[in-house]
Amino acid sequence: MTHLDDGALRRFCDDDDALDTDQRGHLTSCPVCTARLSATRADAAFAAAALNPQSLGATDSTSPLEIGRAWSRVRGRVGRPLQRVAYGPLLAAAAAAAAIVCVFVFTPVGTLAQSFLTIFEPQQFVAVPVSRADLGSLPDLQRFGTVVARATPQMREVTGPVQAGTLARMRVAVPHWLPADVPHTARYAVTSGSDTTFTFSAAIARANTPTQSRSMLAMPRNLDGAMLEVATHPAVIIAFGSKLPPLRSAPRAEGSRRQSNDDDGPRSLPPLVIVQAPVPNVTSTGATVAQIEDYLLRQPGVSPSLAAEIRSIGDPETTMPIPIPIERAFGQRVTVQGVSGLGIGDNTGVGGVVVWQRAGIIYAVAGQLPQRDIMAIAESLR
Amino acid sequence: MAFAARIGAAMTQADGADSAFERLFRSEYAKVAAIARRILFDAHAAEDVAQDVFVSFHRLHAPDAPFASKWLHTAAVHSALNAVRGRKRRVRREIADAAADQAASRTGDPLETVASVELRTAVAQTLGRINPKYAAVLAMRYAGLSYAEVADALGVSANHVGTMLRRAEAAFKKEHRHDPS
Repeated sequence: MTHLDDGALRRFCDDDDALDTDQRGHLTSCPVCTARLSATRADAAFAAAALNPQSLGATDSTSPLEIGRAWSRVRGRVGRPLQRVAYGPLLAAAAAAAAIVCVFVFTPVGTLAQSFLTIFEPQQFVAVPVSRADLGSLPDLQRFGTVVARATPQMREVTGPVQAGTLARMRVAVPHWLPADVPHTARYAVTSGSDTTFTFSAAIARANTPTQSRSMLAMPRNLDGAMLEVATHPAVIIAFGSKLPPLRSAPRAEGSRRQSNDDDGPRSLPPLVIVQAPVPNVTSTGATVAQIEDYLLRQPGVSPSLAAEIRSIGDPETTMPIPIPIERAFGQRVTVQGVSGLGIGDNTGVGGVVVWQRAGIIYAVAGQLPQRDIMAIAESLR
Repeated sequence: MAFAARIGAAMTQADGADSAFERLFRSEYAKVAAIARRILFDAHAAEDVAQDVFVSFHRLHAPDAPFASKWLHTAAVHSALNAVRGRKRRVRREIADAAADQAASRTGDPLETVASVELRTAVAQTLGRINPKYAAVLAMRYAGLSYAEVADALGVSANHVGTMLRRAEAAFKKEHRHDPS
């Protein structure tokens, strides 16, 4: 029989059953392997002594209490995984629908937002803290009328800023500074515009309102039949990383295989996304901003605190509210390129968004980066 | 899906991810900290490394990733070795601090304390000098990982772990005796 290999001898030091009968027999009769086993044991003993923290006066255990304390610290650092989960829909929607604006167009939150957009020149973005309960309380747009989307956004990858600018009919700003850990290779895409109308209907609202509340929640007469038309322009998306963000607003073909972008969470998002788009055109017939706002915020279930927050915004025709999940993010007013914007950061400081409007273009910079880096990138856009 | 529903679903998903991450943390933290301690010989520094490793993992991967354990173990080795390399400059200061602390507390033997710090530092520096794979196998094995766990983390067969361990222990002994400071 050949000599035992080093690995077998070393395992035998830890486990008496590591050798089979033949190997044991060989070891007993072979002085070479016996000597090698002794040397192996000596080296192992030396390493075991040297690498034992207790032998050098250091502790070598982690008690359940210490694990609990460590968990508290780590949990405090990672917070809730906003940058991986909660921002996903927000960022993806922003990218897909030409900045965060379009999120509001197609959603229940949009029901509220649209009420501010009759004269749509959002010069400011204001954070509206929302809880999970608040979000659940928001009325669904389709309870009050009919939504018709004549064109939904589609995304097309392009070769670079020049082609993107040509398709979007705007000058595309690019960042002149990036953090070292962000891939410097950019991919460009242009989303098509969209055109959506919403027509208020007293009959639909009545059918969706509990009988006992119908008189109190009756739709104002001048709101019945009023139409909001929201037209978004092509938006340019610049993604740094391996892939473009998913286009959430695009309808998925019935029966088609699931795209990897929708439910995989924001891990499918690139580490940095820059979106820029002209402000949408929003027109309204027959209803004022105040009437729409008042009507929607009176709906049953709408949280009084949320309604108060929205009513306190003050200048709704130039201010866009952006919902911020209070459990995991914060919003703060920031100055970007000399204008007022809104910074949204997660509670652990590892992800964020900054949104601002300048010269008729809405810009959004979002990424899994510290807020200071996101601000620096935003400032470097030229 | 409506935006509110999507956010709600995302929050539910986040809750699930949170609990999965906590389970992962509670099942692996002791091992990750032990690996770091085998390299750093400093409980506080090892805790810092272990926690950094979990934070990094959380940022990069889903908690139920099938490679979670091996990723954490390997990252603990690399992070701790990096910390050792960055710590060389601080060694003299640590030794001086230890002596000063001991003298101030007037308990124990200051010389013994300094010797202990020097020994820990020497062992850590030896691990920093040998082949990183050897350092990894030593730290993992002596932190209590099984042959199978070490094999999984290093991407080798369990049979090969014995061979690596043998070579690593020989290299460690030779290097430490050659230059124990």
